[in-house]
Amino acid sequence: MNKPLIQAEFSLKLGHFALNFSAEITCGFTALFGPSGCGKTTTLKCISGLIRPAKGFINIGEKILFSKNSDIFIKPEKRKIGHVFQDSRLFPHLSVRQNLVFGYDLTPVNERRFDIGQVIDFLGLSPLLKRDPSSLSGGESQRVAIGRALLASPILLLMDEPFAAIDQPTKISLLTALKKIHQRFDMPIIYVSHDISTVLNIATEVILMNNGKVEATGSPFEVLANYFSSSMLPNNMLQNIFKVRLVEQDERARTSLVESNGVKFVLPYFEDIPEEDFFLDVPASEIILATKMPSGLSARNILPGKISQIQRIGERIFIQVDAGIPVWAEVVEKTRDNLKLKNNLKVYLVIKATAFRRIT
Amino acid sequence: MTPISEIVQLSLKIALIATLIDLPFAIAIGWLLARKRFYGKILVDTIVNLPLVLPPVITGYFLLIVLGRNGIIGKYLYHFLGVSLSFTWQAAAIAAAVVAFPLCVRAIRVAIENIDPKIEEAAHTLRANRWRVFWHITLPLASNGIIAGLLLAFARCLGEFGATIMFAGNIAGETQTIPLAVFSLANQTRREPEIIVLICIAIAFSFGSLIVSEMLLRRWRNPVEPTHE
Repeated sequence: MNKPLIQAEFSLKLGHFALNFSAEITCGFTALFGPSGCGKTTTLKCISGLIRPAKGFINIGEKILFSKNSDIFIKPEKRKIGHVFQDSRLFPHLSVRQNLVFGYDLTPVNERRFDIGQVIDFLGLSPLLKRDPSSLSGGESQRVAIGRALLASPILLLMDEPFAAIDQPTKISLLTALKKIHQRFDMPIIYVSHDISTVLNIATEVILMNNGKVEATGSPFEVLANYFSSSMLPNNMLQNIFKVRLVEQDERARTSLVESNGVKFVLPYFEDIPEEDFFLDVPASEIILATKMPSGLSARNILPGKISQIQRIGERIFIQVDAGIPVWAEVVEKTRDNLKLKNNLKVYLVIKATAFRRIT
Repeated sequence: MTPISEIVQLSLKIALIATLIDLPFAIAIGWLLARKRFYGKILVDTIVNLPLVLPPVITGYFLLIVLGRNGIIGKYLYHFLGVSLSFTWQAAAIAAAVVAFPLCVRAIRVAIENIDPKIEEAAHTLRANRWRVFWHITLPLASNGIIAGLLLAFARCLGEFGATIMFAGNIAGETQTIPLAVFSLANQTRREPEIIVLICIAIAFSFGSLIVSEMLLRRWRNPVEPTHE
């Protein structure tokens, strides 16, 4: 995984806009960030072959996709790169099922990596198969678009702000599905987004673009720490997102107990009982850190853990605590100094039951 | 005087074949004008649309110059293949095809222009080459426009007079279509009953093709009722 999958250096001009992209991309789950108009979409289109750069080269693995000097340009249909667009671009004259198998049917049998049933199950598409694309919601359309791209057995999946127009809960569940796709199928993903908070939980690598140029590449926090000023970040920039299941409801105490990977949280009582796994988020800024076991607190959740990393983004400091699951807490610089917070220090996380927000 | 049923049959045959001649060329030119930028595009566009505004008699005269027995191309056809097109039913079909061509191209071009090229882009990223995208995405999505164009062309072919009389003549049983028959009958006395019958048939066919085109368009717009859960 350490060898870069993509080596690229290319440039082009579109009207007044000049793109000069140059990066080596490892391609795990890579997030491509930058303000709108910085050339993220154009970069993806160059990689998938929908746009031909004026100069430079693009290599993927050992394969040359584009080289100005050698006069090589591989057509998009020969690149085996999946591309999911912000507007799902489903074929309006085909059913959901026909959309899904469009690329699958064109993939030689020995190159097929997925089975139709497997992808349908994985993305929960079976109730949609006979539907007309125009009858799907935004989230459903994007799920179909992802399934359609996967079934063409790509070696790389490009996603151009695929969930920008989708509500938060759906977005979280889709992102989680994406992460699973990435892990379970060993699928490299380049994900374009301007929404840092959600992707930070998922991305293994970040490419930061500005003004048609790559400003930085590296691990998410490295990049954000060095290149973002805190003023660029929205208020609750870092959200902790937990996938949980209900353990029990205590009607007398008006609380619910949920569990995520063995870690239990106490939450306010659920009026409606969630059937399956669901998601919670809690902003890093809402979590209190203590170096000693606190007592006499109203907060219902006190979890022991160890500091696993400390990251600075602009003037803000984020502490990741391993409490069985990773949890981010935000502190101010002075707190870090006063409490002498450092890696491997044993700490307690204090979270109010009401700080959790149920998002699905 | 040929029986009315034969006149009608001949008209339908000529119009149908003329429409079929138009189909592949209209799709090709329609696609080219909708999707491609090239040098001289305005010229191609103008030439294609010329029969729309040119007096059909002049179009017919051009056909005679080009495809007639002594025509620019026609003389080779006659010399090498022994084929003489002018004053045959095939000539009537060609004349009708040329006159109806711009209508057909126009409808198909608009239909293709209305397809979002982004949909075609998406198909390219799913391993579909240009040819497959054209057959499986562009063409089906333009199908309503293509059918509308063909029906429009068919109706126009049925009504074609000027170019036909120049290039194919007015030969009873061979090139005498409904409009030409009406023209001949109008020059004779006491033929009003036959004229009225032919006129009614002409109106019925034109009305029919236009209404069928409209109905098909509606059906194509809502192909299947989406099944909601």
